[in-house]
Amino acid sequence: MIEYHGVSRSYGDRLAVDHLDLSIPAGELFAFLGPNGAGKTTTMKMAVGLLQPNQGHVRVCGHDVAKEPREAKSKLSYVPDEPHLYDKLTGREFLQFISDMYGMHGTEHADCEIERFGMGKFIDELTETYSHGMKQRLVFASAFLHKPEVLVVDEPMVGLDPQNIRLVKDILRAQAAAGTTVFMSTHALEIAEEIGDRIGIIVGGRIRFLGTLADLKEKCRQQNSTLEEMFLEMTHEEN
Amino acid sequence: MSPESPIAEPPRLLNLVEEARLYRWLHRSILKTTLRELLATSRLRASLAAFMSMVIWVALFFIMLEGFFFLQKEAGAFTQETVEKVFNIFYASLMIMLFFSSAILLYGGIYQSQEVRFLMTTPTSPERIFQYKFSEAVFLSGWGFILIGSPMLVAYGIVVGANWYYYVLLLPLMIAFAFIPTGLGAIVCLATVHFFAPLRRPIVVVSALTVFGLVAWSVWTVFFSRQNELLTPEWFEETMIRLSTAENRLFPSWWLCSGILEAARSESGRLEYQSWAQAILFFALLASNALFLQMIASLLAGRILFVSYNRLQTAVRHRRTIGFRWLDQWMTKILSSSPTAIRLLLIKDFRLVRRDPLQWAQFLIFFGLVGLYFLNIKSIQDAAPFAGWVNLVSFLNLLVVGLILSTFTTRFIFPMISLEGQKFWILGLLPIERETILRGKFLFASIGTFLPSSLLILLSDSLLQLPGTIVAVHELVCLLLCAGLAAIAVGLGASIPNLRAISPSKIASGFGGTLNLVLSAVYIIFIVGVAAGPCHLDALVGLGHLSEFFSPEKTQTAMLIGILIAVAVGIWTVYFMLRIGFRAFRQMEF
Repeated sequence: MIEYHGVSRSYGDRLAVDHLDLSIPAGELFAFLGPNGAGKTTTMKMAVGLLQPNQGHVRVCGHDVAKEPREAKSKLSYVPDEPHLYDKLTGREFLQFISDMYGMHGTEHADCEIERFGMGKFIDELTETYSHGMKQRLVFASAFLHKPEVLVVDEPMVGLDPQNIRLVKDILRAQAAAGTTVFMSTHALEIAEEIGDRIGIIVGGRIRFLGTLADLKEKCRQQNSTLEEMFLEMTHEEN
Repeated sequence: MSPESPIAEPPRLLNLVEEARLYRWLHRSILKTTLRELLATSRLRASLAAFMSMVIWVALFFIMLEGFFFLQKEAGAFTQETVEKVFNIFYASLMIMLFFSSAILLYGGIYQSQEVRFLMTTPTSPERIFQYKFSEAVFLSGWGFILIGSPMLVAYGIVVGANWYYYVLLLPLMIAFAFIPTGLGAIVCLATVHFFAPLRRPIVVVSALTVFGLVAWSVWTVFFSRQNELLTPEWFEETMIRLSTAENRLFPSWWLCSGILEAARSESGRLEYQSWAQAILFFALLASNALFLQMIASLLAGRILFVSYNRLQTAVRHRRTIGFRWLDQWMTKILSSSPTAIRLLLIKDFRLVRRDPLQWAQFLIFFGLVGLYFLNIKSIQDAAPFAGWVNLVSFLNLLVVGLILSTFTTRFIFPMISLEGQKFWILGLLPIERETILRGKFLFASIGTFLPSSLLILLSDSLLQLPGTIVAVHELVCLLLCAGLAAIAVGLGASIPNLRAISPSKIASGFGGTLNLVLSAVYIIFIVGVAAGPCHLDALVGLGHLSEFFSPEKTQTAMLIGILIAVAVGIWTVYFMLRIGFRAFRQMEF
């Protein structure tokens, strides 16, 4: 699970995340929504150890990310919006590298993911020749290799075709069902609506809504508006 | 599709040895694939790079060999003391260069790299991430050091008749030495980012000023602030005394030089083992310090790498404001009589160049150095024992300017089309002919290179006090060079664009860039040669040499013919290269 306790992070004078308290339990797919510059990526980067909070602390599976970074990172996987692949490695070599990094020797884990993501046709080619969809499949496959307890995914659907979007949605849902904590950021309300167990809307570094889809719909019903109207209204106020 | 994956053994954290083994495998795999690809797809580039490295090494070796023999036999200045001084100055300079280059390489490699951002999200220890990038920095800065540093040492060994163990010890001594400035550079880089992350701009400015100050001080000390005539034994002695700071015994460069000199020493009455034992002692001193510094840097990285990365990423970023608009307005006024489309394209390219300091700074540094050399050219004229040399030197200056221009057009003009290609839809949809885009780039490159080049040539010629006719010939040749090189870069850039690469340096170092560089060099040598040959002959005949073979009328006719050939070839090159560029650009799809 992921826990944020009173977390703040600023860039110089600009406060990107303001006293965030958030807990995402195991087996939940949490959809994190917000306009550009709202603090989504900063929040996620603090969970994966790329940034450290000015105040408060972030825990992953009980490990403080700033104090026990290796232990925390061994429990999670991060799929950023622009993932890094080694151009001069083949997909198979990349999976082997990740597998070895987690101390899992042998090829059976990698073979299993190759089959699962349907990468058999291109896995032995250099990753520099891959399309965006192929790269994204490989990144997801590498993220699942060590069976992480926490999966942090930043804008996973950007640039994917409908078939790959379906694939990613199914995988994320299946991972959550298998007990993984999935923390996903997205701009698209309909994706959060479709696969999210719980939704968080962040604006100006502060959580403006936190609850289930049913809670959000109830709020909409009370205010006599659609989900989209509600979302736009929330994000518009701050802007 | 099942979400379950069979896990034979649970994931665990690797220990330091396992991590080291894994990252060595990563380096090896990437290197192997890169070499295999290079040999399979870029043989020309690989062969050219290997050949040029060999040429540089051999040229340096023979220059050093001849220099040492000259000092030994002719000048009588080949004393142990002189050699020590020269070696210490040379390697102290290289040490400073290695320090700065490794600090910059590590800053880019650690704090600006997407790869490290990825590795930091994995359970890799910060020490290993640092070691991984450190070994890359040692390799990248070390191979240049060995390429430049080894010819002098091999030549020295031959001149003094050093034993076999001298040659065996050279490489280990140099490698151990290379680790020391790299280790120091790494410590300074890590500490600077950790403590002064928000002040990175002032730090860059101060560092650049320090380097510039050091270079300026060295140049001033060696060439300008002197009591004696340039290139005389007295000047040499005076310069050695001024630069004796380099002989400080605390400098690793002194340890390296001492190790080398001890290995080469073969005095009568000295036991053989004393030489190599002393050399090995200095090697041990270098190696232990190298390892110590690497350990300190690694421990430091373990403590502060993540924190410093975080500080840098979250430091205040100033938004870049658009200054110097008056330059664009000035440009618009100058180009007011040109066709609108060309004017707009020229101003757009001008804006892109002036807002990219990497482009104009390199141009400025190269031309600044050439300018500095030209300013000191007066002493060549004074010292030249033969007046004909002055004319020859003036053409060699033209050749130097041309070759520098060719690197500039290869690095910046050739990739312009490829970079445009990625955003080609913007230009492709404009209501202008596609040829106009290329014409704009050609004019931009020609004018942009001709203005500084012609001024430099004018400076060189006026300091050499050349007659007006020769100055006019030089300016004409300079114009032909600028136009021809611009046409080659634009034409080839449009014919063989690399639309996948986003980095101009990658585009320039590909097949097209290499071809551009080779063609440019051939063009420069031909144009300068065909114009300079008869002109130099005419100057010689004018001075009374070879007059039994050539009359002044004949040489003047030959000079005219040479210039006409150069003009014809220049015009044909511009026409031909632009034509093939136009054809390819018209057919480009987007």
